[in-house]
Amino acid sequence: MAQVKEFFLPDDLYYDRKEHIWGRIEADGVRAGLDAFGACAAGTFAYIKLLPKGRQVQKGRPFGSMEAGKYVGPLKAPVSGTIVEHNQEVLDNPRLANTDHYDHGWFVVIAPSNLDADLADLAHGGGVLPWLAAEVKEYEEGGKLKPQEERECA
Amino acid sequence: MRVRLLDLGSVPYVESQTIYHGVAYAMTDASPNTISLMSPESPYVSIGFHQQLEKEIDLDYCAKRGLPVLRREVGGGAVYLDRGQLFMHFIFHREDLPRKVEDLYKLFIRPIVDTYRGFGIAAEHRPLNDIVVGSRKIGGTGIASIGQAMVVAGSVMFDFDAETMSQALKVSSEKMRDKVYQSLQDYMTTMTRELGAPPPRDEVRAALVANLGKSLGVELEPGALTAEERKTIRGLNRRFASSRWLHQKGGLSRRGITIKGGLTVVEAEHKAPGGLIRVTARLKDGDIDDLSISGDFTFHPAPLLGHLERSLRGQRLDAQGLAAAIREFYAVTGVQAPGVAPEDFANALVLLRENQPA
Repeated sequence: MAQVKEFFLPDDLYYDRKEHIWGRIEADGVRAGLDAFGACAAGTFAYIKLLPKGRQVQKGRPFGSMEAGKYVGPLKAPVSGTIVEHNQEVLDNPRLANTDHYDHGWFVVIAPSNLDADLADLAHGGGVLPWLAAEVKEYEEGGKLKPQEERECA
Repeated sequence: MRVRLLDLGSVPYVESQTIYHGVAYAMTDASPNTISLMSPESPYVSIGFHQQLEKEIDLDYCAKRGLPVLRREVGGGAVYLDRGQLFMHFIFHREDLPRKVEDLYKLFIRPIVDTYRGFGIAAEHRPLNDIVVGSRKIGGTGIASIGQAMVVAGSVMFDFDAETMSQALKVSSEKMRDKVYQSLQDYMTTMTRELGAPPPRDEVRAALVANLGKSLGVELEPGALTAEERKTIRGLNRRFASSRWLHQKGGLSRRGITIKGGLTVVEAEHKAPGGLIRVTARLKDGDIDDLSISGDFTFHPAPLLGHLERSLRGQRLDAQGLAAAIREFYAVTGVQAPGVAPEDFANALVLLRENQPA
């Protein structure tokens, strides 16, 4: 696992370094959600909209959108493929994306079409901790993230 | 860091939305960070990205007034916009801005606050994203990630038409509309209201540009839209005008209306044995700030209903506390309300909590 300050990122997942979307490889496809750092930056989720099941998505293109803490943004696919599952629980209770990032707070499952190539540039395993540490350091030192004692994140 | 300034003056109403979206969508790694300033040539209504048009807007009223409606890709609620506001947008590379939303708002709001202060208006930033003068809000702001860009949108308020705003919103009753209008009157302000007359527009714009440069620590470079940006904007003009874009199903439930941070107007209903109770309230930090009670129940003598409404101001939305206060009111006044127990009023009021905007 990778833990930097309050941010916990399981290192068995794959992470889009820019979007902070995680992917977990499962039998039916790649389950995707937002990691702890991304959720902290976005603020409290108020609404989540997801593309319908059966829709094809491209890696780096939106599979949905979210509204949180006076902010709206796309949710971008970590891999290309077809959306095969939605998380109705997170649609009904968007705050799960803030409080239960890696379990009940997931968004979609994507049946991948080009998995090996798509995973190549995602952070994984031993690469997660140094990336996360650098990310937190960069944002804190650059004044882009408040000091830990002033942050209010799950 | 280079920052391009697009000082565009008055633009067609559609483009007052599509220009900043277009600059964001056309952004590449080589694009400069951009700040745009503009006002719409004619009035319109804008709804938030995730809102459902039919639920939020009185379309008959807008049609009668000839008021077009546009869906933006920035969040928040429906708002009436016209030449009384000077729109400002940051369209920046994400890596050049603070990561946390609240820090982004600080950066964006500071030059607006400094500009108001320069004209003698005691504005301040009230987190998360309000600018206030005392208890009154003077402009709102919103953030969206669009294309490669992070966009922060806000305005300088020369003037604001609360009457048209309250008419354009779809509300569940005229009482609710009255309360929205009154709350906008009571809790919104503008430069015109603060100063007694609108200040010269050019002077305000010049002050804002100077404050932007100072706040960001850069010299703003006056610039123009590129050919690629213009092409993107033309495409967005068509998309934003399409019925499919406007009528897409949203789902962000806003059964109440936010006037400013911590201040909402909300309505709720409860069916008591003696009739329907409808409560329309302004809530301040979740407590009752102002209240109207209506319905088809009997309350005798009727003038006491107004007394009950006033006696509940300042109350928390707590079922037990409310029921106790209303029981006491019944006992002291001897009011007759067949089939409507104090607990029925309390139940209606507690429902307000659930109906507050997200």
